[in-house]
Amino acid sequence: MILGDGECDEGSVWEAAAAAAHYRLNNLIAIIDQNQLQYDGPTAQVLDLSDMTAKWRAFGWEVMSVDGHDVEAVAAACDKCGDRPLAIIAQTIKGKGVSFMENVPAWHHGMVTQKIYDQAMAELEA
Amino acid sequence: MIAFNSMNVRIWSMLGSCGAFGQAALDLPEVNDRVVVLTSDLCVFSGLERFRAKFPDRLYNVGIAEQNMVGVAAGFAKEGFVPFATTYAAFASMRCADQVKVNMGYMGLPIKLVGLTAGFAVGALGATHMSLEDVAVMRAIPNVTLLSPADCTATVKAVQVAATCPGPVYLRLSGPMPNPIVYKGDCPFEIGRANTLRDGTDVSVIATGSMVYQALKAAELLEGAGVSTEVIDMHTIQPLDEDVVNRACGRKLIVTVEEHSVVGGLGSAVAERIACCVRHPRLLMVGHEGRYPLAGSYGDLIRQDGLDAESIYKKVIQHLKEKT
Repeated sequence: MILGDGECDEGSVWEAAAAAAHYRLNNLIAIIDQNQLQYDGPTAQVLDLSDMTAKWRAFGWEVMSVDGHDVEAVAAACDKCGDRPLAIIAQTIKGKGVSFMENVPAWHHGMVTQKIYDQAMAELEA
Repeated sequence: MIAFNSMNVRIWSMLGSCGAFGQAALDLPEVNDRVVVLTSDLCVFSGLERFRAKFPDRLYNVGIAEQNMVGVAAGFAKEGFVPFATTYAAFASMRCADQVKVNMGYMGLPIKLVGLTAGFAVGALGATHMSLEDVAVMRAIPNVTLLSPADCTATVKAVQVAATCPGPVYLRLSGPMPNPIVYKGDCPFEIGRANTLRDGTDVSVIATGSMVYQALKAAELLEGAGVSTEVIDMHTIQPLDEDVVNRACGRKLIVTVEEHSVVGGLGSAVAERIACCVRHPRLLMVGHEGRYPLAGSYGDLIRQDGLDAESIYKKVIQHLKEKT
């Protein structure tokens, strides 16, 4: 299951988190895409959820923090599931690899034109 | 006070209904000193950046937590404030339905819940963000006044009306960006009193929100085909203007047009009313039917559902033929 860090503002996320731990769903992995940006700007400014690791741990989850752009590290973390649900906090950069998109909040909701798409792909494939 | 001049009307239209809301909000503290504005991570999207800069102590961003936003708004209302709260119409009506029921319906707190991008305005984001059920949900909740302005001019007007009206309001904002202009200047906006925009004796088209513009265009096509068509802007869906509906019962056909499901929306409201009349014509309900559409552009989604003027015109002509 993949969650955005901004999405973790929603109460329903934490209802599910509590239930998953209560029922010891050890086959459940939540990957939290922590790019620290949401629609209105940095997550810390819009609604500061502070220490994500501590929060998920307090809800009864196993927690690991990895570089979200390191696919092997994410895959390795997925093998760490024990007797509880596992939260993988994946540190990421929004728009990674595209110079004009990296860490720009507007790209949360941006529309990609053919021209922008071509520019972005050229950078990614360079 | 905001001027309803042609320049502003054009600017609001360019900004779309969300941006027009933000512009109207700038004036709210003047209209009602107790106004505060809440949003759930849609400050920029609601056009509220200038409001936040001008009135930082009146703007509360609660994050992506719509249910909590309605709860916080309820708290403000209990303390005597007039809270406007913005989120996508889909979330305002469906995710927060229980908070709306308890705080607005049951307790009657004067929360002004603003449903952004109702219908297909953010159809590119898919069915999760389409709002085709919000009118049905809100109509079922007592006490809630349901406003659905036809364009950005009427949106600005509706915001002002909501700020001064004593009870809970659901403000349904719809239409594309730029938003077609129906009202070129100041327009009447009296709660529960529909605006008749065009007179006609054969067919009565009752439209709401973004569909008023399409209805007016369809009426021109119908007039060209010799069908005298009346167009009514039903900007208040709850309470419905029953006088106007009763009057429409004297026509050959009543047509409702809405960017919403035909289940529980404006069409249903009109159907419920005319079912109580001894004599009434057939009712053609134009709106969304069936399954959720795939993600798409606004224009494509509207055409797919037959909500463009040309499609409305064809449906009316076909219906008139079937009857005779």
